[in-house]
Amino acid sequence: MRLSTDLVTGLLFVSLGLFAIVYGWNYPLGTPARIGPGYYPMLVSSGLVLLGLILVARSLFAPGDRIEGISLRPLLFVLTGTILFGLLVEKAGFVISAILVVVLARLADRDFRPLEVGLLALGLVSFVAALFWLGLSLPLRPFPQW
Amino acid sequence: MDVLSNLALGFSVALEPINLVYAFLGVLLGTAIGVLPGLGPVATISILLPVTFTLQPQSAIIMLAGIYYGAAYGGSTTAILVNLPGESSSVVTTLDGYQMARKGKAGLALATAALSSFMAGTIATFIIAFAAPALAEFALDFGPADYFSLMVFGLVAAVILAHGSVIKAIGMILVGILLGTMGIDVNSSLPRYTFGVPQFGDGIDFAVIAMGIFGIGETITNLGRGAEAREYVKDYKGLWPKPHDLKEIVRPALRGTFLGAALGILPGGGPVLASFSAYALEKRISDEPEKFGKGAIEGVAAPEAANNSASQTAFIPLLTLGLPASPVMALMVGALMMHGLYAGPQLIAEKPELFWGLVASMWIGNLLLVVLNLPLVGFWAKLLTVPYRLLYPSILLICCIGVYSIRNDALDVIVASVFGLVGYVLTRLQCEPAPLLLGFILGPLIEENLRRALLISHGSPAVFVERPISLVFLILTAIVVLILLLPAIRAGREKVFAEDAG
Amino acid sequence: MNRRHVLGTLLATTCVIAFGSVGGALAAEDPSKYPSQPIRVIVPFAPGGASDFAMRLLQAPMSQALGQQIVIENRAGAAGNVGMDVAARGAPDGYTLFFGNVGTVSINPTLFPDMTVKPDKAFIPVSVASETPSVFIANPKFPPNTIKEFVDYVKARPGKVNFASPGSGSVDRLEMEQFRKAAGLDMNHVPYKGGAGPAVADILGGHVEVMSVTLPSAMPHIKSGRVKVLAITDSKRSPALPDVPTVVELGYPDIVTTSWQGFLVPTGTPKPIVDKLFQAIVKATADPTVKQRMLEGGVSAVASQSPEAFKTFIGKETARWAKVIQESGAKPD
Repeated sequence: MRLSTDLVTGLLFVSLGLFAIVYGWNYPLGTPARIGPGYYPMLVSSGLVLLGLILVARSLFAPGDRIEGISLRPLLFVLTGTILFGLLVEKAGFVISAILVVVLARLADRDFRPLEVGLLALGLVSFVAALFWLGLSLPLRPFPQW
Repeated sequence: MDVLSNLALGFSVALEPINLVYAFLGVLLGTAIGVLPGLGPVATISILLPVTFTLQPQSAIIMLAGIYYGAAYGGSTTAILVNLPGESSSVVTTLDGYQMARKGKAGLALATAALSSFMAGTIATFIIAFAAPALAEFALDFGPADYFSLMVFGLVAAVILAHGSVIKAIGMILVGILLGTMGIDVNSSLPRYTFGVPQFGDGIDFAVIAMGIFGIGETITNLGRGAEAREYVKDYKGLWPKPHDLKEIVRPALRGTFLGAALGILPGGGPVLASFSAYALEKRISDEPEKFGKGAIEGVAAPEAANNSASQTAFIPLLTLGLPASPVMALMVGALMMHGLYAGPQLIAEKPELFWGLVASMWIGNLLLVVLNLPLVGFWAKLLTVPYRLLYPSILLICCIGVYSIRNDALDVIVASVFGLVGYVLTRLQCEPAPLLLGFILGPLIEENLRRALLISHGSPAVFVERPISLVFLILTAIVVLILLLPAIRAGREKVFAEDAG
Repeated sequence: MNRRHVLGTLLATTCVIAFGSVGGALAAEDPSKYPSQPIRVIVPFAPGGASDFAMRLLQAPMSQALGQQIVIENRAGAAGNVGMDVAARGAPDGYTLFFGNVGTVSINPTLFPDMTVKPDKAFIPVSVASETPSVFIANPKFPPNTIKEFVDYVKARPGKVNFASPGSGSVDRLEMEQFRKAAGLDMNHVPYKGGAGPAVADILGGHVEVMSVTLPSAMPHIKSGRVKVLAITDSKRSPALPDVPTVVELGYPDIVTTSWQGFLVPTGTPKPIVDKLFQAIVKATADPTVKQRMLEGGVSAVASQSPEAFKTFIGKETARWAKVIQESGAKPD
């Protein structure tokens, strides 16, 4: 079983295109004089499906590059950090959310040095507080408010 | 010469110490905030707009213009240093600027950007001074059909940007266009692909996608590499352009300047279209097109010159007709209104000191930008020698805060995270994100103008060939398509496959 | 607007009693000490827009009247619905105000029936703050010079004359639909994106023939002679455009319309606080600098007769636009 980038890209294009077609099935296509909201997405998604099929077909004849390994650890930790930031920034305030982003980001790497991470988090939180909160007075909440 | 005496008046206003101070302050603040990922010119100006309300009208508009250039330039800085396009018009700068930085030539890339921008700024200032009214009339002649053809031309030219598979590049453009259809349809008020989320009613912000793909996605990719491969730059060389570098910069920058000046006066994607058509042009006429995407200095000089001259000529419709050509210009209208001023031809007649003061301050702003940024080049380049393990958490955090502050919406941070995943998957699949972003910007404009042109012509597609401007762009599009297809046809299948594999 | 408000006061007398009892119990602090901390005003549009402009002008005099700092928070998105949602979720303690307008409060509920906020339920109206009429503008090369000529011209070319607007559900579009119906015309609607600017640009360029647009957006182009004005949607002539006939004079009294902006607070805000805010808005809109600045752009700074009058006014506006939207098919089905 070899997964070439062409094959996977092709399948992705096809599924995204099909999804857009199905999801937008009820968007009116309109008339030439009054093109509806569904016409253009339909055109573009069909094009995407077609390109995807070409890629799939081509990958069967000329395999091309294989997909390199997926690095799960950075993927999970980095995304958990940024998603948590999004979920928490309004409730828990930016101080806790920012510390979480920094700590989780560093956990994405095997090279975790507690003291350094602590200092980095402290420095970055102060920077964010000084610049965005005090300096630009953006509507940010520093601490939790229950 | 009337224009010269007007310019003299302008410089007398712009050179007043107090106005110089505000111009400098504007450039400084603009650069400082624009350099933060996610905060492009629109966000930067929105944040700083209230600061200017307390100033005299001239000082306020001069400071705002300074913020605008500063923010635009700040966006290029992050594009070069950490591959983060702060705004749409610096997407193209990431292609070669970041590659230069990775090769230890960050200083050279930044200096190239600064010098090209300054050159473009100088020329654009003179274009505004001498030809603003005539150019404004030209911009008015552009109808929906003409925009449609221009944007189609732009998208087709975008394919040239790709240095990998052409099919994948086209696919990425289509994915970008599809993303661009998200939101409430302007013609029918029908929400498209909003999944019932009210915040998606306006679609997704460009910066959210760019921060996700380039900021978060790129970080994940880098972390997946070995510890050795991802250290940014251990030694940096070539901080300053040498004479032969300068020689390489001048021509592309000049071409970019004029291309940018022409596209800048058109509403909509002016600076974006300018930056990547300048890039596409350079790549097309270059003797060594394979250099592009691997750190070609022309690939920084031309688009930087183009987007700077475009962002300056974008003032033309605003100042001469009172028509804001971009969201930034709409902000400028608001700023003028706060001072009881209404942009338009009367403004030039009634307040010549304001109009010409602004024109003169454009040039001064560009000069200040160079003065401010050239010394900083060394600092920025040094910043890259900070160990990656300290750099990437900072990038991630500032991305999060930056994305959040675009419209104070936490959902945007989560959407950006999703695009981080998308960005990572794309690199695994060897798909380039730049065409996606361009499709995202141009796609909605194409649809909008297509539908509008046909509404106006009552459904007759003949309008696209009957209007001369539109016809010219359609012919140009056909030529580009031929140029793209010819080598493939000539070389046959093998060449295409070989290119894809490589 | 005066006629409407007089009527509104009469109709609203019953509401006074209803509202008096809502707040009280929920109030966390002694309303007599209000305001003891900065007040935030949610503006549902980006800085630099018409709402932001009006609010920034009102900021200083209001803050002075209340003796507290006023913080403007721009929460743009989804035709103002994002900001409206944020404001509706604010605590009903008088420290969150919503600066709504005809679009968010009176048009969006019909246009977007699925939206989460129902402005009539989520907010207590406090007072209108500014009003501006619209003008019907056309490219100078467009043959008709008066509304009568315009009606004849369109009747001779059914469905062939194009009118522009900044979006399907925009008040500008609905105003033209209203006129279209009143005059029995068949015209072709061409929507634009991104505010009035791009639509006006195409009027200037001669790509589209006519449009209805708020006075401030048209003013610079009227002054420069790049557009001609056929009518103004007000009941009396504008001092800025004394030669332009009103729709009342032209025989269409039913299409008198204004674009308005005004303050609302989340439902549950105590009545004494609403009254205090109302007084502050009355003072702020009477401020000579504010009046002058707004007038220069063709906007009048006005306050409602009472919060109840504003509520009645909103109710009538909502009903009116709902009817126009239904009849014109501006709503997606």
